[in-house]
This record gives sequence, C-alpha cells and structure tokens, in this order.
Amino acid sequence: MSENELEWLHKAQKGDVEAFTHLLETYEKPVFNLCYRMLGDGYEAEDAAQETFLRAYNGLNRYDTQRPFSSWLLSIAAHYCIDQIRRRRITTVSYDEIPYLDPPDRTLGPEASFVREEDQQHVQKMLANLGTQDRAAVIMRYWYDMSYEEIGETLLLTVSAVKSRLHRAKKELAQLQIQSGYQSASLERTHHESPAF
Amino acid sequence: MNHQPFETWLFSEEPLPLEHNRTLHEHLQECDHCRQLQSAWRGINQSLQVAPMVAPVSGFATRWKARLIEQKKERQKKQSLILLASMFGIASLLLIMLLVLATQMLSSSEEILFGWIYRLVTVYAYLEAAKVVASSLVPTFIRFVPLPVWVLILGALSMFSVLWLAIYKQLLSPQKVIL
Repeated sequence: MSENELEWLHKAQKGDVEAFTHLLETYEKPVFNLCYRMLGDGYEAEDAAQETFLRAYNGLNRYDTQRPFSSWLLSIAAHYCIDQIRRRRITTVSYDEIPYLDPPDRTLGPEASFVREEDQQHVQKMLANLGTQDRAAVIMRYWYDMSYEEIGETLLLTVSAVKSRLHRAKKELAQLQIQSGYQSASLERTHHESPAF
Repeated sequence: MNHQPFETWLFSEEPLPLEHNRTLHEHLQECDHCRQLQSAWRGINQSLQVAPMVAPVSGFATRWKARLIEQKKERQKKQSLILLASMFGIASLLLIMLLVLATQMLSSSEEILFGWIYRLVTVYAYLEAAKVVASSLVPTFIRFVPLPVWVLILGALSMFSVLWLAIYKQLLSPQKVIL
C-alpha cells in the first residue's frame, strides 16, 4: 500500500467515510472485475462489488494490516460471489455488452473490436462452466497474477489444493474449448504458456 | 489410454525438464487426444492472458455512498424497532403484574378500603392537633417579641426578597459579551 492509502486506511478505521471513498476509488476496478468474472452479469457484479465495499467498511476494525488490502478486499468479494452463486444454483451468463472495458482500446478498428468482444464473451462463457472455487482460482491467477499462496490465503485453501483446482480448471476449459469448436482470434504472446508448445 | 503424466505437463506453468519435454513431444506426435487438448488449451489460455479488467460504470463511488446512507437508515430503523419492542415487552410485563395485583386487591377490597379510611382519619387528626398547637403558641410568641424587632425582621425579609428577585432576573437575562 502507498503512504496515501495507509493514511486513508487509518482515517477510515476511525470512521472517515471520505477517506474510505478514496480507497474505494483505487480498488473499485479490480473488485468489480472479480465480481463480473464470477457472476457473469454487469448488474449483479455492481451489486456484489458495492456489497463488498460495504462489508469492508463495516469490518475495517477486523482488517489485519499485515495482509495486503487488495487481497483482503478480493477475499471478501470472492466469498460473497461464491455465496451468491450457490444461492442462485443456476449459472447464468449475460450476453449483454460487457459493462466497460478499461482502458477502451481506441487503436482497434471495428472488426478487431468486434473480434475482441466476441473473444471476451467466449471467455466469460467458458468461465461460467467452472465450479465456483475453480473459477475464482483461475480469475485470481490470470487477472491478478496472484501466487498459489496468495490464492490459497484468499480462498482459504492449501497450496496443493490451489494447484489441483487450477489444473482441473485448465483441463475443463480445454475440453470445453474442444466441444465448443471456437477458434480464438487472440494474437498476443502469452507468459503463462507451457514451454511444451 | 492413460494420458498421464502428459496432461499434467501440458497444463504446467513451470518449465519442464528437458527429458520430460522430449517425452511429451514424442507423445503428442502419436496421441490425437493430447494434441487436441494442447491446441484447445493454447487458444483459451491466450484469451485468458489478454482478457482486460472490466470496470464499473462511472459514478460507482457516489452510488456506494448512497447505499451506505441507506444501510445506516435501515440499521437505525431496526434499532428503533428493537427498542420499541423491548419497551412494549416491559410495559406488557408491568401490565400483567398490575393485573395480578389488582386481582388480589379485588379479592380483599374491604380490608383495603378500611385501611385507606383509617389513614385519612389519622392525617386529619394530626392536622387538627397541629392547628390547636399553633393557635396557642403563635399569640404567645408574638407578645414575647417586641414590636420594633418585628419591624426589623419584616424589613430584612423584604430587602432580601427584593435582592433575590434582582439577582434571579440578572441571571435569566441574556449576557452581553464585549470583545
């Protein structure tokens, strides 16, 4: 955390709403992204993200300063989303336009933008087929670059359980990809790719 | 066909030892299943890698603050309801106790009535006795104290009354502060 963020945190712990709002503005995107990737719907993601920050605000006195604030927030968000999905029992994927892609890439032409959006909808559809904890592990690994230990701390799993879930999720995603027959048009070189390729 | 440990190697993020790499490469040349899995994983993995962060619609912080205010109002409402329910509960309990007491009173109403009449008569008797004492003592006291002393006492009492009223009025009037 930066010095400013620490200062805001201390003020927020004393009940300063404005100070907490500064923290919220810093972390709203990662929290919203996690909620959207978990729930698959922009409105539900907004609701979940708002609820996450409310719980964080009300539970600031329980926050362990030894732990990164972002991890703590994402943990609250992940558990809330997992609860929501369990209550829902039916996995839904919204095909409405993805709420907001930040930063919007204005260098892409209309065809490339369409392909990108289609790709992202496909990713979201694939994620929706994973179990809740597997989905959360994949999201944390790919969007937040979290280590196995960090994912384990956030989802209350052991490191070996995280590795096992990630392996299972990857296999399931690959099998779903085969079944769907979808050809990804993404061109960028990856950095999590197996060296066996 | 058993595809282990090849499937594990396909999804591994860690660099494989040279030997494993070679074994996997040989296996992929023969196994359609693993080759298909490799190609599919490559595709979805690339998509996951380039997937951007999704941000909320602008105004998220403002909407959150409004939600926080709503939550506080709900909590206050709940607390008020709990307080009201507690007070109602206590009042009901007291009412029940009073009803029980009243029932007991009704069963022995004659005793209670006579008891109250006795108290009233006793109070009246005390007042009458005090009246008799006062009527004999006061004239004696007045004759004992000379007239000038009485004038002095009454004058002092009047002066103190006026002084007291003036101080009281001063305390109640708004204070002017000169800076």
